[in-house]
Amino acid sequence: MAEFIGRLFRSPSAVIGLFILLAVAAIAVAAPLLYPAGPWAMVGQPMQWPGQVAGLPLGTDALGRDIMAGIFHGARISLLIGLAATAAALCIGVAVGAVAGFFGGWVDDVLMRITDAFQTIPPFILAIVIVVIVNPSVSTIILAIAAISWPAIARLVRAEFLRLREMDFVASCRLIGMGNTRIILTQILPNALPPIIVTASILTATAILTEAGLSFLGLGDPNVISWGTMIGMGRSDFRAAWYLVAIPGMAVVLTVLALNLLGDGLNDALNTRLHRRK
Amino acid sequence: MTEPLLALSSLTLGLRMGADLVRGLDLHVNRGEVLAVVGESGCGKSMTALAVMGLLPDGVTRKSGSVTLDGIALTSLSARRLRAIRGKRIAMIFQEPMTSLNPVLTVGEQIAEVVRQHEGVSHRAARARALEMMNRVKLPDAARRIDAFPHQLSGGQRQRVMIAAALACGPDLIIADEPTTALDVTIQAEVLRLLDELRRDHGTALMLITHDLGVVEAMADRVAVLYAGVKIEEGRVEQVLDGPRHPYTRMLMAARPDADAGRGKRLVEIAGSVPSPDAMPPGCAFAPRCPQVKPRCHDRPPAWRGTAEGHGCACVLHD
Amino acid sequence: MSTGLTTGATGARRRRGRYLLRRLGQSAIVLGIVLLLQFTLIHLAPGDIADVIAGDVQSDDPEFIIQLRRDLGLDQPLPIQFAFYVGRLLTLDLGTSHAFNMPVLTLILDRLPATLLLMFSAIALAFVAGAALGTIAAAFRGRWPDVLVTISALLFYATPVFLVGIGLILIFTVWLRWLPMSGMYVTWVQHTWWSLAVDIARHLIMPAVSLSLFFVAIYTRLMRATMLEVLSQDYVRTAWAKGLSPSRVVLRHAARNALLPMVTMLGLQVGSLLGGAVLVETVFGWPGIGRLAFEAVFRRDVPLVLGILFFSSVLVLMVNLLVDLLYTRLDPRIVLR
Repeated sequence: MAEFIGRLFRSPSAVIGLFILLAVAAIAVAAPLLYPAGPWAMVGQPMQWPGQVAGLPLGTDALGRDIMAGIFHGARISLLIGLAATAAALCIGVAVGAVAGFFGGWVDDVLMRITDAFQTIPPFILAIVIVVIVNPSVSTIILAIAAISWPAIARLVRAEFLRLREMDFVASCRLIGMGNTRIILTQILPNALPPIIVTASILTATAILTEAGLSFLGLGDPNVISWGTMIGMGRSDFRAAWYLVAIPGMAVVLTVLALNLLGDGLNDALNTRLHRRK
Repeated sequence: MTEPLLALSSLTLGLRMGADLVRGLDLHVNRGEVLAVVGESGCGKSMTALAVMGLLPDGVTRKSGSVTLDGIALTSLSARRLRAIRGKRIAMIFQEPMTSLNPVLTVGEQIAEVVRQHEGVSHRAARARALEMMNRVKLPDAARRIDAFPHQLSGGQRQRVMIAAALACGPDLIIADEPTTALDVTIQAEVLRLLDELRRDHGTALMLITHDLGVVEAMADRVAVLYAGVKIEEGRVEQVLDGPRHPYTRMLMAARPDADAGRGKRLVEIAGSVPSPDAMPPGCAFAPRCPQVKPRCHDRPPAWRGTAEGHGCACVLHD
Repeated sequence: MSTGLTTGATGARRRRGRYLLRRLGQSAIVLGIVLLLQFTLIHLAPGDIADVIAGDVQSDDPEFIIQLRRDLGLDQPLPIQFAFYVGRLLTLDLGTSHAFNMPVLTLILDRLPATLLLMFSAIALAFVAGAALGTIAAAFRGRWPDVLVTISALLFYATPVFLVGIGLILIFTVWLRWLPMSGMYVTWVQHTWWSLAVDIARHLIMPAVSLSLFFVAIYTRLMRATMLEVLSQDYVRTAWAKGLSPSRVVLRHAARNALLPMVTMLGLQVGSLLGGAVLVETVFGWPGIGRLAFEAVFRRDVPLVLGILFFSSVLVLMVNLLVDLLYTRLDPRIVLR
C-alpha cells in the first residue's frame, strides 16, 4: 500500500489531478459556510462582470445572483451526483460481471445479452428518457446515470473474473472447500480491483459530464443549481456576457480533467492495462 | 591481404545508463565468405548484428568502436545515408519468421518494397522482381502465393520469403540471426542449404549467428566464439573445430552430441551460468566456470593471441 | 496450413453469408431485449398516453378516457400490449405522434438525413484527426509534439460538447462573423443544388467540430497507445532493416496495423455519438433526430420517444454489424466461422 502511494505520487498527472479534486472537494464542503444564503439569493445588480464589483469576484448573472456562490454550491451537486452514480453503477456492474464471469454458461449468456441491450440504446438518450419519465430530481439523475454506466463495469469485471477464475489460487480455494460466494468476495474480487478503481475514476468524470448535459438541457433537479444548470441559464445571454457560460464551463472541464488525470496516474501506479489485447 | 568487406573494431555496446553487453569486439567478414558467430544466448551475438544494421533497440547504445563496410564507416553515417545501405548492401534475416513479416501486407508487397525503395523502379517491375525472387527461393506456386498474406504460409515458407526479400537487391552481405532456430527440425537443413546456394550464386558474404556447431561445420568458412560479450576464439572452421584452444570452446565441442548424430541439435548447457553484464568479474569472464582456471585469470582480462594462420584466442593458457 | 491459400472466392462468400446470418440472429435477440426494456421503462411512468391525450384535448370526461384506453389497447394486460407493440413494429408501424400529429416513422425519416450527415462528418473528422494526432504523438514519443497532443486530447476529452458548441459560436459567429449560428441552410433564398451544398457545409462545420472533439480525444489516445505497441513489433524492425524511410515504416507498416482497433472503436461509439447529437443539435438548432428526441421527451410524446429509441438502437446494431464486416475485410488474418 505504501509502495502504491509512493508510485502514485511520483506520477505528475496523479498529483495534479488529486490537487484539483481536493480543491473542488474543499469548495463543496465550504459552500454552506461561506455562502449560507445559497446560490439562489440575489445579491447585487444583474450582469456584473467578474472583477467589476468588490465582493463579487466572479460577477453576477442575469438575475443578480452571485456566480461564486453558484460555483461553490454547484460543486456539491456535481461531486454528489458523480460519486453516487458511480457507486451505484459499481454495485450493479460488479454484481452482474462477477456472476457472469464466475459461473459462465447460460447465466453468462443471459446477463451479457442484457448488457448488450443496455449498451445498444444510446446512453445519453436513455438517461434523458429515464429522467423525464420519473421526473427530474437529484436521485433520478443518479439512477439514470448509473443505469447507463454499469454495463462498462460489468464487462470489465466479467473479463477479469474469466481470467482469474482459471488461476491456481482459485482452484486451491475450491479444494479446501470454500464456497462460491466466499471465493468471489474474498479471493477473486480483491484481485480484480485495480482496473475497477481506474475505470471508476473515469466513470465519475463521465457522470459529471452527463449531469452537466442533462442540466444544460433543463433536465436537472429544479431545486438545486449545478454547473450544467448555470451554463444552461447563461446560454441565452452568452453573446453579451460570455463569462456566464465560461466560468461554470471551466469548473466542469477542470473537475473532469482532474478525474481523468487521476485515472491515468492510478493506471500507471497500479500497472494495469485497461486495453488488454492479444 | 585485401580489405575485408565488413570490419568491426573495438566495438562496445551497452545499456545507455548501465552495463556493457559487448566489449571491445573486433570482427571482420571478407567478401563472399561465411563467418559464423557462435555463443550461448545472451553473449551479445544478436546485439552485434543489430549494431551493424544501426538498429539497436531503445536503451542500448554504441559506446565506442566502429563498424566499417567496404571502407565506409557506417557508425558515422547520417540516418538517411545509412538507410540507403540497409536492405541494399546489407540485408538481415531474423530469427522469428512468424512475427518478422507484416500481417496485413501480402508477401509480394513485402519483397517488392525493398526493390522499390532502393532502385526506384516501377510498381510493375518491382512485382516482377518479387516473383522472380520467390521462384529463386523455390516457393512452390509462386505466381499465386505472391498475393498471399504471411499467415497463409508455413514457417519455412515465411523464412523463404524473408530470404527472398533479403536477396532482392543483391546485397554484399547478409546477416542471418539464428535463421532456422524457430523452424521445424526437418526443414532447418533445407532452408539453410537454400540460403547457402543462393549466397554462392550472388557471391554474397554471410554473417551467420548461431549456437549450432553442426551448422557452423556445414556452412561456415570462419568462426568466432563469443562469451559474455567478448570474443574468446576465432579462426578457420577446421582450425577451431578440430583444435579448439580456449577451454570454453573445448567445452562447447565436448558438450556437443556425436558429430554425425548431432547435426541440428542444440548445445548441451555447460554447468554454471554466464555472468550477468552488471556483475562482470574483473579478470577473464569465463574464469568462474573454467575447469583449468589459474589464479592470475582473476586479475585482468587475458590478452588476444593470434597465430600466423589466423587462429586467435584470448586465454592465459596460450600466453 | 502448409497447403497454404484459403479456399476460393465461393467458399469465402458462403462463409461470409453464414456469418452474417448468425450475427443478424444475435442482433435480433438483443433488439428484442431492448424493446422489452423500453416498454418496461415507459410503463414505469405515472399516467399513460390516454392521460396525455386527454390533457392535450383538455378533456376530463372519465367516459372519454376509458373509451380512449380501449381504443389504444391500454386496457389489455401488459404482455398482450407488448406483443401488439412488437407486432406493429415488425410492420414498421411506429404509431402516431400526438405532439406533431404525424406518423412517427415519417417524422423520424424526415429528420434522419440531417442527423446521419452530422454524425458521419463528426466521426470521419474524429477518425482522421485522431489517427493523425495519435501517430504523431507515438512517432515523437516523449518529445514536445507528444506532450502537446496528449494535453490537447485530455482537454478535448474533458470539455462538454455543448460548451464547445457555445465557444465556437462565440468565436466564429459573434466575434468573427464567419459562420452561421444555427440551422442547416438559409431558407429565405432560392438555392441551386450547388449553393445549397455550400450553404449546408457552412452550417455543418461548427456542429460537426463540436460533436467530434470528444471522439478526437478518444481516437488520439487509442491510436497513440496502439502505435507504440505496433512500433515495437518484429515486423517493424524488419521494415527498418529494409532501409525504408521513416514515413514508410510508420505509415505503411505500423499505422495500417494500428488502424484495426480504431475500426472496432468506430462501432462502439455510435451510441454516444447519437447522445452527443442531442446536445449539439439543440445548441445549433440542427434539424435532426437528437433535437426531435428532446422535443418528444419534453412533450411526453410516448410513441415518438419509443420510436426514436427503437430506431436509434437499430442504427447502433446495424453500424456494429457493418463494422464487423469491414473489419474482416481489413484484417486478412480473420477467418469467419
